[in-house]
Amino acid sequence: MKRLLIALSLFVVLLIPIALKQLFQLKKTLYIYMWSDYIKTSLIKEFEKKYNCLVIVDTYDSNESLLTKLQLGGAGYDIIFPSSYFLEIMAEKNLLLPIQKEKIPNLQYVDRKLLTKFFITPTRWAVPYMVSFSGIAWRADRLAAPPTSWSLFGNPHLKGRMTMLNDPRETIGAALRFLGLSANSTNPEEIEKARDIILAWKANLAKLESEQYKNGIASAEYLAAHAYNGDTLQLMKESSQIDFAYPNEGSLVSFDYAAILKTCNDSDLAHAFINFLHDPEVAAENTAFTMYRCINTKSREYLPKELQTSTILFPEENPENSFEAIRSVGPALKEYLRAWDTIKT
Amino acid sequence: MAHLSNQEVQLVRIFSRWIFYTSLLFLYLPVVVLTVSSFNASRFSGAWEGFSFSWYQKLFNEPTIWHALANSLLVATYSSLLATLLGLTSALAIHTYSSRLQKFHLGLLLTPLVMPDILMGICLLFLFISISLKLSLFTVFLAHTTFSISYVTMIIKTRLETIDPTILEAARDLGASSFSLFWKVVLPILSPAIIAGWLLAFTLSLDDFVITFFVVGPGATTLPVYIYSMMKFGAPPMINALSTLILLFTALITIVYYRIIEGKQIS
Amino acid sequence: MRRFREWLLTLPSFGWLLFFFFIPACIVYTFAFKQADITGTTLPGWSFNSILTLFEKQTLVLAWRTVWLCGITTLISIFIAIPMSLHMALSPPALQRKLLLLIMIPLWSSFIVRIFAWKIVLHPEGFVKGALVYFGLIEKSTPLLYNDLAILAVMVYSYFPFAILPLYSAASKFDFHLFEAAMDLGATWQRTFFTVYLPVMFPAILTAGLMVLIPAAGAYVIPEIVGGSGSEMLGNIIARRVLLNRNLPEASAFSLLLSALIFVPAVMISRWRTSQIKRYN
Repeated sequence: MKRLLIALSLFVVLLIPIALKQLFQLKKTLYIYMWSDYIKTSLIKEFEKKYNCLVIVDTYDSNESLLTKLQLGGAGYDIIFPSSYFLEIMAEKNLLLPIQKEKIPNLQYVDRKLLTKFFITPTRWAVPYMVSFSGIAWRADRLAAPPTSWSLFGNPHLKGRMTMLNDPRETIGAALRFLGLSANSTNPEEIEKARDIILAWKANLAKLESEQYKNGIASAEYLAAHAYNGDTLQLMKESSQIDFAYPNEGSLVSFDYAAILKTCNDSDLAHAFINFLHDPEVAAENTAFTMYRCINTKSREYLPKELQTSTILFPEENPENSFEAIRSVGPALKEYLRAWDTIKT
Repeated sequence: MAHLSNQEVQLVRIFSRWIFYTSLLFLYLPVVVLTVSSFNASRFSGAWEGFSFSWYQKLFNEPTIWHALANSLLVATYSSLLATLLGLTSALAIHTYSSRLQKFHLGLLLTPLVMPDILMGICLLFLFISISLKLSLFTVFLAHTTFSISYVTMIIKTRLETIDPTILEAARDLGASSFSLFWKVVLPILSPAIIAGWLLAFTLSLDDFVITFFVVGPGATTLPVYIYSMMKFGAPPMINALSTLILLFTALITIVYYRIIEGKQIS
Repeated sequence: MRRFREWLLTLPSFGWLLFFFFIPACIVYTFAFKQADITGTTLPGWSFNSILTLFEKQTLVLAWRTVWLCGITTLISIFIAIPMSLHMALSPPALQRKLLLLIMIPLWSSFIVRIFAWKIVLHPEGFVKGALVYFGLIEKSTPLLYNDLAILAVMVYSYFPFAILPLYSAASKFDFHLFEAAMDLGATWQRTFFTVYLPVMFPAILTAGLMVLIPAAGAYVIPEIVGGSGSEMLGNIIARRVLLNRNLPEASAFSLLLSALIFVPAVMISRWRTSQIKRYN
């Protein structure tokens, strides 16, 4: 019994240094909440060294769970990366700190033309960071021809080997585009029509998946997937059998912004981090690694040659492709969520 | 104890043994799969691309995993200790006294056992929101303690019920005070149960995902939550490597523990 | 003085659970009587609207799926656990401990990881699928993953060890001489098993059933990882109402439903069990 007590107290004692480290973070710390695989780890270390601080990155898997965690008191983060259509709600709920432009000199490199092309208005609440286009990732060694339409998901020959994104706006949006309607429709009838299309396609889908499709496509568990261009480019780095296509009916583009939370302790450091992200060379290095395009004009010059002209990374330059930006639909979101419930049951 | 001679009865033995080992195979299948795939050079688990230790190497270079492991161990240690203490006091209270208070006390202890993880996670989340307590490793600690208490109580309580009351009476007759009765008689008898309870609370905390997922805050990621996010995005073989290590480690500890116990029983 | 001692001993755990469990549970269940707006704020005041959303067709589908998946998981788990525990109890004591260890060790690798491992096992181009197609048991195009069957398999896998523990505990206390006695009196082993062994084990069987049913009913990770888009259970929609819809009142309403589905059989089973124990004591 005595020996046990001694062993136990030894164990507890060994953990005290860890506890102390948690309680007394000596360096100033920046807490970042972002999507997974969205930033190169070596860049974080570079920033940590440059500003003599600690950067802790936690990840979330959807805008909605980000907002939920924030609303439910998950504060403690300094920088978050919401999509543009979520900024409105967050600003309304008084969650954000306005950006002080003078602290981010690299703002001059932000690709304003791209934003105006998709009718995204400038905002004082956040800085545009990355843009992602959704389309279809597919295995060239299994599919006879490149997919040209969203109707691929209605193909019974590929039953059980396809997935669509687990995101109501993206998936219902894809169906809306397939029907020739706007992905930001607020008309309940149109949303219902889109829902019925997805319900018909559901029979051919393995599941609705926003992250695991990467592993699935790579391991040939899935032969085609509704995917983001950045994710797919990452896969294509490792396998020549995987390709990416944009459907003819048009696809969706979403813009992710870097925003600072009101509860941020050190807004100077937070601004410095965002400025760091937009340093053209840093942005290029990040893009080359994560395959996500930074909304930074000068960074394009620093990209590796094959990426500079990539039609997958810069699809809007190809006049054959058409894209619609996902925008906030206000109270009509209820219709989308209701349709989503039916789809998910 | 089980001496069955009849031939027909041997059929029962064979049948149950067959089911046992088949089910054991079923139980170990995913474990074998994940151990094997941790040595798979390919990043994606479809095809075998050669034997490699690279994932184990990458594992040791990934600081976030160790951070998450440290968090997990920290929370598991403190929450299991507190839960064991509270479980001990509650088991003693329920066993010793039989008032209406204890009936309600027992009900309060039994209910978490019938509540699924997801409901407990939501309850705790709602509580922390209502009292404006920021989500952090501390909230994880509070949550883990809460769901562990009931298990410890049940284990200690079961053991308490098997203590022969005449021993206690005899000790009392010989003049022992309540306190020394407890310390010198009851506690040593209970110690295996206390340790079992503590071990269970520690294991439950270390492996908890759902409840932790709902109450975790910035920088407070625990290992299961981290594994979940890694599984969705990153390199599964690295996680398989980690799990293989955890498995080996716990198997080792258990075998050592049982050797000690067996050694004690023989002597 | 005795009252004071009692309170002293009771207060720590009682107070803790009251504050961290009972009161939050009450808060969650009262949230079901409120309403939320689309942006996720809960509106002040009371309303039955959130509860009314339970009466839609989808809820019935989800609830039914949860009930039958959990029911079958429990039945299969008990079916496996009874012979397994019998085998263990009939083994020599030293072996018994080793067998118990063998069962416990896989439970110590992370739960999450073992579920993900099933994705590899049931891979459409993996070994298991290949073997099943080879023996003509399934078609090449039949998916093994992302359907109700996959959820069933993984749930049974995850929870049947919990059924073994109470059954083993009871089996090891069973006096197997009763078996001999019954058969000396002329009964076949089948008759003995069903009329002597099972009735005595019945309370343990019920406990084992509960040990599987409760986690199964609240399963949320398993359907999310190996279930398809048409295989959601109640646990999933509760998580979705919190994380996606940010509609806490509706999440609470579904929680009420889930609790009712668990609570009713749990109470019935524990009442039945107590009556069975009384019968045999």
